[in-house]
Amino acid sequence: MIKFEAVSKKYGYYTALQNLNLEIPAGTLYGYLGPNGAGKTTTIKMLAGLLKPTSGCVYINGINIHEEPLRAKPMFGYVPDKPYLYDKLTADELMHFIGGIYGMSKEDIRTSSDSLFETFEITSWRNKRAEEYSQGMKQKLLIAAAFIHEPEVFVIDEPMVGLDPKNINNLKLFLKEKAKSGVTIFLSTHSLHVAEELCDRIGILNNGKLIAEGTLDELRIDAKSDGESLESLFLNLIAEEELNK
Amino acid sequence: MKDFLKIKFISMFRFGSGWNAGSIFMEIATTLVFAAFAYGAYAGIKITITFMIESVHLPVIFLHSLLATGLFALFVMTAVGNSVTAFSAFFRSEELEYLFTLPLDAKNIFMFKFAENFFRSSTPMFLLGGSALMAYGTYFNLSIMEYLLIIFGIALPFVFMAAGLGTLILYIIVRISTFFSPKLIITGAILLTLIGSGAYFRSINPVEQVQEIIKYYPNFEDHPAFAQAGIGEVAFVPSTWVASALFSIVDGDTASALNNISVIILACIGLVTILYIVPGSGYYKLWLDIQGKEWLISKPNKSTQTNFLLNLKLPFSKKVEAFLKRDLMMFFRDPSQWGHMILFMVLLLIFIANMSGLTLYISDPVRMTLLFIANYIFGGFFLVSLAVRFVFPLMSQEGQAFWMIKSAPLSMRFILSYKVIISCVILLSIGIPLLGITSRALSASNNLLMITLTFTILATLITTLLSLATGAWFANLKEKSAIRAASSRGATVAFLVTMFYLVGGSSLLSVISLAVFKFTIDNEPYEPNSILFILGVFGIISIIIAVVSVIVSRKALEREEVYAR
Repeated sequence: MIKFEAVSKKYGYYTALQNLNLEIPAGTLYGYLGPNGAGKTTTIKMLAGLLKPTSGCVYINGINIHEEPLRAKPMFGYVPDKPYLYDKLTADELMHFIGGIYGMSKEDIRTSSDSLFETFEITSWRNKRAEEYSQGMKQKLLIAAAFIHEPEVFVIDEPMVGLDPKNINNLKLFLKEKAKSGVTIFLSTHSLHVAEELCDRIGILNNGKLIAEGTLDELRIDAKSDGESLESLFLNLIAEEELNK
Repeated sequence: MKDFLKIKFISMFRFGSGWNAGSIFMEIATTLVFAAFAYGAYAGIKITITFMIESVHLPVIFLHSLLATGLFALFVMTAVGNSVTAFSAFFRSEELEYLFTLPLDAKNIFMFKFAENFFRSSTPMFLLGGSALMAYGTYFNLSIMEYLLIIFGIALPFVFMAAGLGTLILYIIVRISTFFSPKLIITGAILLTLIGSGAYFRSINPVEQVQEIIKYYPNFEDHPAFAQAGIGEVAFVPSTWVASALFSIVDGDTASALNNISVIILACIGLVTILYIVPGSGYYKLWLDIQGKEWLISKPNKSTQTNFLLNLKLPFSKKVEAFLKRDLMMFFRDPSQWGHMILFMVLLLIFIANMSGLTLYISDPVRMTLLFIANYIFGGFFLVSLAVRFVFPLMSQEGQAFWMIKSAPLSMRFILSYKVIISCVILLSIGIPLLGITSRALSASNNLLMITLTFTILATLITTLLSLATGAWFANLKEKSAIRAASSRGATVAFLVTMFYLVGGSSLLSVISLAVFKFTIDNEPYEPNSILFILGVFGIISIIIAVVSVIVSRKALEREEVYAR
């Protein structure tokens, strides 16, 4: 379960996020949408404990991540928008490093790595250094590494970046399966068709404000539109918001 | 090219956006540290020159002979340092991917990168050089014209030559590496540098120089062969030209000075021309040749075997074990890291071997103390250089993958403690033999040796904490090269702050060692409580610095603009 309680974030005089109130129940696949600069990455970084909110609280399974980070962080896995990792380490070594940080035994790391490498088709690359990987391969490795300790909450910024269609499909199936097993997934994306196809609930952010939130059908009702695609809905909501401003 | 240079120039002097109280304070503090260091170096060098000439009565020509030896070491260090940092600048900089798409002449890009690399990594050298020149000039009462002549005719061409030679050697290594094994070439180059330096020092023998001073002191004039010795035995190295030119200036021999200056300037012009024509012309092709060839750094890993380290069980917690293994693998997969470490270790062994073979004839406690402290400061300087080179970049080396650590269930206290303990253990295992063995050769007392070791342990801990704190504050997570991180402005601040502490500590140690030498040489008793008091003062100062360093480190890691991007 993820909960944002009156969360705001300011950089100097600039407000990146304004009074965000949001609760995402366990097992939900949540899509977080918005134009460039809307505040998506700021929200995700606060959720991952990388940024501190100027005001408000962020909870993971009821634990305030900024007050009790060592209790909250073992519950989640995170992948940022840019797949930065240690270029000099192989996939196997990275998994052992991350597993070690989470206090896993060598046997558990090996079992978990084997299964995740199989799922993401990394097995034949597991002993090669990351400096030899393509961007897509790095992205797959980071997603695999984020799941090594079987998190209850998974947060990912732009999941499909650098992935080919086959890998996008694999990832979609993987995420759906994880959500079904009770993992809460929070993803931000610009691919509206991915969000439309994948997400149980969607939040739309513009200029740091959550302007719409709910299932796709609820969003259609709110916007008084009938059977519109998420893309049209998104564009209309953003245009309406700009007009109101 | 003009517009490009203009924009680069502006960006070099553009500071980070968003001034706040913290950043303004740091800017002022940094400026103060630079100014204080410059003044300290000026005063220290002037006192040394005055002492050598007026108190030891060392002939001026012999002072310049010693200077030639020091300048040779500086020349080699500048050349090696520039060739190492130049690899990142010339072949790994991401900016080049953009520059080579522009209609710019590769020769100009090469020269621009050469200048950029040179000026970026030479701040401490300019500070020290400027202070040394001022001290030298004030003592010998130089005129403005002579200052200008030294700056433009001697100092600048000298350091440019060292940097140019380093860059040229790097270019040749990379060029040959595309045909042969890079490891073989790099090893060969390191061996050549060591053999060349060894041969030079063998020919002039600095230890013998010091022993001769001690032997003939204070009656140098009674030994004409010593008093009229020439400057250096090796005439074809730039350091000898520089020392000769400086001696000719202070000796009033204008013709000889101009002779030497002409040689320096012509050699410098020759080297820069060679750089512009040879590497400059082939730069773009070479850059293209090595693109994607990470084997220049390490061969692609074809192995399907799991790394044995992963299965190795270490007697630490799982978190510490994970970090230790990661750091070991990353260190030994970066040739610039282990290569530089080997170079440091070789220099250390040479220094220890030379110092342990030194025989002393001094029966004057004051001069004995000076020699003892000079050795301690030199050892400390070595330790500080190691800390700035390897401990300062530790936070920057976490790189843009730092999000993995920050989003993991790890406290920042754990990260800092881990880095401090590992660095401290390594530095202590170098510092104790270094200062222990060399001080043993000079101390002639077990008590003084034990006190020196206590100072060393405290100083190592503080050096580690200061380097880590400044490294955390000035961290640049985008900088992939540890060497470049260690030659940044922040690293200069780290070096200067740590040197201040060390020189302060050495002055306290000098009070103790003087009392001990007075006792061992003149049988003059000393008050043990006063020694305990000085140790206590040093301990309290060290604790205060340690606490401040820890606070700065923790505050630094909270900076979102650096660690959350």
